[in-house]
Amino acid sequence: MLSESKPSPAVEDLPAVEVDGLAVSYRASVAGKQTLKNTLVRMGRRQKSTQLIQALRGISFEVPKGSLMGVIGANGAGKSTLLRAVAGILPPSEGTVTVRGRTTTLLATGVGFNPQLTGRENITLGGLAIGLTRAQIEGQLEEVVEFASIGRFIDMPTKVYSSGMFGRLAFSVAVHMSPEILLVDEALSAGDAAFREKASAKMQELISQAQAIMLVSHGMSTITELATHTLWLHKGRVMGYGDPAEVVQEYTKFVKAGHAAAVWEEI
Amino acid sequence: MSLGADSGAKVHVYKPLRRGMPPLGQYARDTMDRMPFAWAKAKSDLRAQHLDTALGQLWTVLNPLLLGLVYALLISIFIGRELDLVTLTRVLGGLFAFYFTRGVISGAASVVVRSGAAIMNSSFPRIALPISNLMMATLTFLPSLAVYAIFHLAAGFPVGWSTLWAFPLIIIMGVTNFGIGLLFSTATVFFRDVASFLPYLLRIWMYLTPVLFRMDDIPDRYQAILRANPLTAVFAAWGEVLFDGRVPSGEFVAWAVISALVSLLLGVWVFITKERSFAVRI
Repeated sequence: MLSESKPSPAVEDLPAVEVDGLAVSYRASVAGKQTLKNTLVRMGRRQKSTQLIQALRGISFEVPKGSLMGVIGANGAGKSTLLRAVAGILPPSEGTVTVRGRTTTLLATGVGFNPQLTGRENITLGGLAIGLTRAQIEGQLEEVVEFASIGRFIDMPTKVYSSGMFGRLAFSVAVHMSPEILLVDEALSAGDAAFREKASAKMQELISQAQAIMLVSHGMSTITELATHTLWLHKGRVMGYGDPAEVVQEYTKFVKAGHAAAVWEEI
Repeated sequence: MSLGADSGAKVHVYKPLRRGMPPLGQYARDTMDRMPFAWAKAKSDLRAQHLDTALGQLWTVLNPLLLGLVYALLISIFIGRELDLVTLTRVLGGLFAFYFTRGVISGAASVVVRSGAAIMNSSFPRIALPISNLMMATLTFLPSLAVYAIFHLAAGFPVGWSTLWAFPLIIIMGVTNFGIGLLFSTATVFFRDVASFLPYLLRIWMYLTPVLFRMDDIPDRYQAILRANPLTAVFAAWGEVLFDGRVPSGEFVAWAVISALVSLLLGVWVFITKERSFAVRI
């Protein structure tokens, strides 16, 4: 959606993701709860009920196939917004985002479409929503359940799941739906140490299969271990881009100097 | 689950939208691709709706049936009409149809907000959500039609070729409801309290629509008020088909079609030009 699809050219050598001059801005409510009452009260007081949030400005980078790009930055830097722009969830206000291949996202541990439905039903709905066929979804389901280690819970309503089960299942779904480009936001924090190890190994496997991954993380060791290159964002702008060890070092110095304490709003 | 993916190895180029409007051809194709999703969600939601109740899906018919009894009783008390099968059947004919309207509009008002996790995580045309709700409301309405048919025959109301007009009228009703539902769906994302006052608004709306009365019952000086209501014409035509056993008047049909098209175009335009904001407003 929100895209122009065209026939794939010879795309083998082209980057999986190309972002050129990306800016994302939107109007957000400043009226506390988003209600008609609050809006009318603010109008009566001649106060604005929304403000323009410039979440990303002038962002340009590429993610080659077979690479993992780590995205780092303080809360409110625009990391999640960037992943949503690449996924096509938030259209750009300026610039272009070119994505070559099937994207799979793991952006926030949601509860699927209906907590009354089973994990199996929610996975099917989620897959159908993003355009997969029932056969494609069912073909992967057993592997998804096994990887997530949730056993018989897959046929129970998701309202009884623990947050750890949600996280494991969400990660498992994302990595098993044949992603060509995987967009992950802090998912490695899901589950215990054993699952994190398994998740990390699975991501290495995807990279070796020439798939591209964008990983948002606050864990600097995760970034230096997994990333082939790193993007550092601060207040919606690029502060560093390149070798993970160097970018992480610069970022750590920046944080120690106290700059990151002045965080923007959580995006 | 927080899963998202596009449908194949295509190249997607995301660019700024002109006045919030996505490329309509691509949007329509993407929406058509999501019809299996909308249908599956409609069936799942219907199943989950009364999962915790002893009578389950039976409530989808019992609710309007019991309410119909209450209204028929009130009519017999206040208007002095005899509480008989004919009165009850007239009430049920209108009430079952308005329950369809209510289901489409109130369901659309909440379906986007309730799907927050999916909207935050996945890229798909958001209009698939209210479409799924329209399907669910239709699945709920169909069994109540069967129940109504029994009352219709038992009360001795006419059945003939003109009765077949009920089906195009249901489609016109569905289109009008869907268009109005899209407006409320968008409004609820921006103003959450819309969902709180909507039940009262719908109740008042029902009293301003020929559901429990006929257009002939209303004095001429109030007819203009009723005619400003986009649901009036289709419900007036519905009454003519069911209770008079005749082809609906051309004026009502034309007026109902115009109301349906205006509601649909306005609803779709507002919804898809605002859906970009949904991910940051939910």
